[in-house]
Amino acid sequence: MTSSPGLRAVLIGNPNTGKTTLFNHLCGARAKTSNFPGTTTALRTGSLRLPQLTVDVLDLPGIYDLTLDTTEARIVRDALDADRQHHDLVVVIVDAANLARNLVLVGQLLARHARVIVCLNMSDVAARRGLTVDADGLADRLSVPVVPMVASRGDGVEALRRAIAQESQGERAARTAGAAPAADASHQAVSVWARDVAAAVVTQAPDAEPGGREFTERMDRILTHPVYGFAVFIVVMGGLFLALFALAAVPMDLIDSTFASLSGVATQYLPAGAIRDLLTDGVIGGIAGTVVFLPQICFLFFLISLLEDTGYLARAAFVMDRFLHRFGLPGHAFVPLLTSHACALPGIMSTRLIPDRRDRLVTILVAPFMSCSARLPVFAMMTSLLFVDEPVLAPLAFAACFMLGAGAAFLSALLFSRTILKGRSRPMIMELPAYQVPSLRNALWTARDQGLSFLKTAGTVIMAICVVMWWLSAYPKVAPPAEAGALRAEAAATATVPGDAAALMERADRLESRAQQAGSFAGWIGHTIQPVFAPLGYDWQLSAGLLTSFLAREVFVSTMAVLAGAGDDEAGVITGVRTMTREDGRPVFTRATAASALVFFVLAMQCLPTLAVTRRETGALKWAALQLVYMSGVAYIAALIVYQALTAMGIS
Amino acid sequence: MPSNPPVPVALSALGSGRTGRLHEARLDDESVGLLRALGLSDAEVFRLCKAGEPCILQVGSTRIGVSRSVASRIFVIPDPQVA
Repeated sequence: MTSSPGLRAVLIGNPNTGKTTLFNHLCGARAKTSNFPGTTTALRTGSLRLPQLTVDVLDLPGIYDLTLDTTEARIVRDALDADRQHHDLVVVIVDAANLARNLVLVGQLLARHARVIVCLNMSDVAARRGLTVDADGLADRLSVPVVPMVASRGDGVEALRRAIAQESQGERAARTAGAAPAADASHQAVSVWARDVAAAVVTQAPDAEPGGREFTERMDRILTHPVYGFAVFIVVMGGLFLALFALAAVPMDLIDSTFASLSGVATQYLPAGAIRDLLTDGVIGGIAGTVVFLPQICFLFFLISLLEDTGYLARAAFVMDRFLHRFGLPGHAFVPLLTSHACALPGIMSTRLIPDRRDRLVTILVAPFMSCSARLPVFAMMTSLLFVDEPVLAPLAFAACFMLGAGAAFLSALLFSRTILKGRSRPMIMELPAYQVPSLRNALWTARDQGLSFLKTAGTVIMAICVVMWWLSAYPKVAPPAEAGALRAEAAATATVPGDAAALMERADRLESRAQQAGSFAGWIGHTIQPVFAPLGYDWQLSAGLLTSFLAREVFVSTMAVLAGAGDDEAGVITGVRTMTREDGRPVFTRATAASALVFFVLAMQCLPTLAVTRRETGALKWAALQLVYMSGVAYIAALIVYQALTAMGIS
Repeated sequence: MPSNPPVPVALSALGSGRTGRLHEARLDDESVGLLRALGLSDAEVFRLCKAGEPCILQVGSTRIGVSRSVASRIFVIPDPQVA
């Protein structure tokens, strides 16, 4: 087998014509996802292995019309212009049940490109509607190969492979007159040409019933109904959310425990020192911090792909558009915003469902306000500090945190829509695809592609950040406190009583960790930035906690536990943190401070991986910087108001 | 005697089941282009499958959903109702 360098086939077609399914059949595991150069639109490339050659396949975005002024159409035009120089092949997939409309794109391609193959997909759907398409007649009419297929079943894929092999090696056949519209034909002229061609090759059975029309109309009436549609939406999205948590929890725990074991093994076998610390706390911790998100991302895209295939998502977008439109958000934003309750990373990645760039940017900017699962340990600790022995108020405060986050997201979207991202969300005009059974194969490939894409791009950034944050917390090395040394000596003396010795060693470890935190660069920065947080009532320890949790919010709990010298169990941590004192002996956490810190954590952007993904998905550092500055500013002001108001009311 | 020319009405004012043709879409260029690409033109007959929010219409085999605010800016020539 030889590889022909530079030989490329581009896959193009209207949305919802089975293009992705066909791409997966052709390329399978040899596909990868990246962004189109200079854009944030996802690009899939793969290789098609044929007996005599290998062809690179490029999956272009689905478009209806080459002449539209949209990002997708511009990308397709650019790709086709580049192809003309390489004499590549255009494989256009059309819906046999909707031939006249699909032929408009075919006509535009024939007018500008040499080698075209037409895939006549969904022949089964056409047959159910009583439509028969004369594929040979169409091939004669267009003077290009036409391959009938049912891509969902894999029918016709082999014939397409043969056609690609032939076309890749052959010369362009001369076209008969009328085989393609003129290169400068207007849209109307191309439409007339398409209708003429379709009329010549499509026959409709005289007694045919419009297949499934009654079912489709009944389903549409229910799924887009203001009340029933909303109820179905709640059930479907609730199910998706629960499934996401349930399915992802097991592999996430497994990843956690695997990396913890790996770290334990490294600690056991490597000599103590900087290399071991870097490997266990920096590298292994960094990889774990990246890989742990993978199950949620893969399962989310798997489930979304299934839902999208059914045709439901297009209907759900209309249901949510009524509410979200008021805040300058499109109906499509509901999946990213909902997903961000699990984790902002997959939430931001799923904004790829949103067609309009302005709408996408607004959604990405506000998605991290939705309270994610990483905030839960912090919420749990802070509400416990706020409402000691008040079992009713703590859960209410917990729920209020979620509402505050969602409210901030919607109001911020409104603000962005009226300022830096002026404009209303794109008017809702969408094709409603036919209802169909989803493709498990497509969903699996999508999950795999998105997972790999996340690991390759965001993963490397996240790991680098983890190593830097570890270094800030671990250096400079601080001499162990005398008290810790005394405890170790005492442990050695009581070595005959293993339980007592272990407890003493554990206390010594905690004292050393606390001293290390206080004396590290992170501790030093905590002291330095404390004056900034003083109006919010925070001392240097709480400021250091905020700094280390900038990497990931959940780190706040462990940092405070270390600074408090608390035990590992939850009750021990909360007791330890509650009794923490400032240098002047006053408690670190008063009611006002705890409430202020809770509000800060609800609203602040304390997740560097999210910023890395925002940078990647928007294609510009400025949006990630804006997200950081805006969210931190909102969090600071809100926390300041809470602290000052509570203090003024005498609540402390 | 010449018959009166048909009067365009907003799509949002049309009842379910009615058919007609596009007269004018008072929308941004991108939206007009999208409607045209989906097949909604003065040359094609559409059928209104569902009125209200959203409006669902069918052109050939294509089902198009539009929000009510969009439908109020699309003007169509309805086919005469059969008594």
